[in-house]
Amino acid sequence: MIRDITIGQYYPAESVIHRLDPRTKVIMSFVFIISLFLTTDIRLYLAVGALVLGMARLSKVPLSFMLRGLKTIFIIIIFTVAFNLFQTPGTQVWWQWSFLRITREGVLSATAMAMRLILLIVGSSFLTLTTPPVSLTDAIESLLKPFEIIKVPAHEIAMMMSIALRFIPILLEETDKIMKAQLARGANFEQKGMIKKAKAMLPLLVPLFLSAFRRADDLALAMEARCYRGGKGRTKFKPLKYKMRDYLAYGLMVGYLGLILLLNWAL
Amino acid sequence: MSITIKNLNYVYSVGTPFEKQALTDINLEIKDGEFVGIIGHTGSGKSTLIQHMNGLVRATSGEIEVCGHKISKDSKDLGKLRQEVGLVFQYPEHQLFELTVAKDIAFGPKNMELSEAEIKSRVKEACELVGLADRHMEKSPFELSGGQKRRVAIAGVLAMKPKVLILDEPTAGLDPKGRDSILNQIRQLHRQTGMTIILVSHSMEDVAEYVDRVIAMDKGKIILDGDPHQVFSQRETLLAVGLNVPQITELVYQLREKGFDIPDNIITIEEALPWIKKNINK
Amino acid sequence: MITAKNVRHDYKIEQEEGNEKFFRALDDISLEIRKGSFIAILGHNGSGKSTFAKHLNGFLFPTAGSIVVNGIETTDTEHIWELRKNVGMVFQNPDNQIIGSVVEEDTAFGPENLGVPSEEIQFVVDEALSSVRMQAYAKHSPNKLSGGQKQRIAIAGVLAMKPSCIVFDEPTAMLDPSGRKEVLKTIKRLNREGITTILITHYMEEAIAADHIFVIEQGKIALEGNPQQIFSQVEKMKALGLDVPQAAELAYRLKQDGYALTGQELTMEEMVEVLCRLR
Repeated sequence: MIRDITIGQYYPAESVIHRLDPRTKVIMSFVFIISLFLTTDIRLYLAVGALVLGMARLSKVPLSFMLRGLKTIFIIIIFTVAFNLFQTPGTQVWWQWSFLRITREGVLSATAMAMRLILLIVGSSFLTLTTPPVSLTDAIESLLKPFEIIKVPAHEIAMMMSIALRFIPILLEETDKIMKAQLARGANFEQKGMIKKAKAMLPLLVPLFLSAFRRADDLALAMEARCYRGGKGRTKFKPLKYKMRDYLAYGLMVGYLGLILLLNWAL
Repeated sequence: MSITIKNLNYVYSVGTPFEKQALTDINLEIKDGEFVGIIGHTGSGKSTLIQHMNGLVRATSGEIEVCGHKISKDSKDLGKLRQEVGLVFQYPEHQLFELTVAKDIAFGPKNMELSEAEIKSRVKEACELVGLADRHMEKSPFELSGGQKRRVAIAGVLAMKPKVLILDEPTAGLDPKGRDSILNQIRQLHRQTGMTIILVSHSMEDVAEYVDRVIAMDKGKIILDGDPHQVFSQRETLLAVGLNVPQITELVYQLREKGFDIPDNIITIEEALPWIKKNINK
Repeated sequence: MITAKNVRHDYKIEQEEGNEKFFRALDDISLEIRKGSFIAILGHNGSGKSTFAKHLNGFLFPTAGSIVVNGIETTDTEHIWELRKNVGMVFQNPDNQIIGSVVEEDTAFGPENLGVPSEEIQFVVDEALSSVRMQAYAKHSPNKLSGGQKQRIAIAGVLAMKPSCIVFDEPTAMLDPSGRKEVLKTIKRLNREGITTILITHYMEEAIAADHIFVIEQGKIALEGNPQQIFSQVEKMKALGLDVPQAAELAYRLKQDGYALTGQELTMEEMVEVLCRLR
């Protein structure tokens, strides 16, 4: 059933990583992504890979669950690897056919690219796997707060995200219902050709949009009735508070970044 | 025979943690021209059952034959079947999408690839059947009132000239006048066309008043099936599964407990009146 | 605590070429609602009953006349938030009024908006959820709850603002009978606990519990009185496109035929009692 799809694929478990403040985790993800782009050294990537595996153990999220994200970008990885493998010019040519050639540099760069992509996906999936979407929006609001001076609507962005989270499952269910109703009237959603296809979707899309607008209208009224007037003067039910483990995590993060820079320079 | 269902089982999300048996061993025969009511609380499987009847949901096991079409897991072309079994969902007005009322009603017939002239005559006929005035034809369906929108949506299904019409709570959200007028229209439709009609409803009073046969469902099973008088005389069984009997039936039950001489299968005020009068003095 | 005086409301219907036309949704409505009472408002779709409800918390302002709630004139924009805190609203579609993805987060939405200190919110939330008997679902997602449960969450969200009055605008219209029962039970209990209750509904049985009923037709008060007075006027109610409970209809029919009923019997229990007496 369409309603069983979970958004953000949070994996509930009791672990140190789950307990970290969501802000810490957002910053950690950023630092991790940046670190991957600081180097192209395969040995360093291997070390980072080991670190990611260790973190996965710590988070109690099954490895199979983490690797699931790779499925969707499998094609991109293959493409990147192929491109790097056959198209990198180099001094040592190992194999050549027409315009395709494999060089030593090509093999190295393809391996590095593949590793970088895999680490990128697996590493950043930690954030969504160990943080409930609701905390994630809180973290984003809190982290964007300083940018309100330059007119970044931090509260509004977070509010939009949480409303989207709330309504995505409802709209999915609605899509299912409307689709069935139109199928019952003989609609055929599997037309060939762009224009025909687009036209065939109208009986689904028009009611879906109307319903979304109706809901938005209702919701706005309900929010106002509950005294919502923007972020000003609003308090938080569960304000985010850094704990000892978060400061520790930040410390480790700085150490990690330093180490990567150092090793990249040294190797 | 309009609908024959044998040993139908339906399990959804097989092999996931959400696996659930929605329908268990359903056996059912509905004859041509019957007016059937299906009652059951939310989650009793009644919506799933009606969706099997036009192939929107496929059975896990068992046989279904509707208007001479066998539906199985791998029946491919259900287009023909869906023309013969019209399904009107809850809040059908939420599925309107065309620019004008006439175009929206024509959506079904158009999908059947009928001739222009045939479509036109069907739209007109469908409008008459639901009591929709001609002057609304070129209006946007979104300008109409709630009750009228619902009529347009029902007409959109009727324009396909189904042999069986299934309505899932056609009166949900309407005011008393709107409720009565839609139900009367459906009754009239049944009398005029002799179409087989299946009405899913939460209102025991409406079911008692309008249909000829009641099917009560609970936890994916049919627990009672018969003439409304028979079904509603099974007060204990209905209450046990969280369903009700019409208010008047409940009153009659309580009067019987007090020793009144009234039969236990009364379901409308009209039926109750003479019996009550017999028992009391002026 | 609520006083409406000669309230009129005209909607502008835009016409071509600046030709303005008005639709009179409310016409000279005057009424008074006492603190702690239970009022039901009946009327068919488009009779103006929802428009009236929207006047009570300043969503709409009267074109003429005035509405005063707890001493605050609803047009007084300076006190609008105080007014809205005081007059809570529960709407028809339970899905479209729940904002949070976790039940307790949703209940906290009102208090957060009112600037209630964080340490106190948990207490307010727990209290509100237990008044609607939903404390066991505090950490659940609203998506998997039944319609009746969702509607009770919506009520808790309003209760968390500590209103003195709640307007229920067809809160049971989209629910099944069991959901309707649980929501009505909750409404009745809250009223007993002292909350002024205004219930707009299409289900006549629900209005039986009210102290006083207003029937609105074409923006005017067509009938008013206690449930006995209202539902004994069977012909009039039907002419207004409304209905009466089956017991009331039976009583009316028997009375018409000369039996010694008052015609004010509304419930099964009353009917059984009266009929037993007539044996």
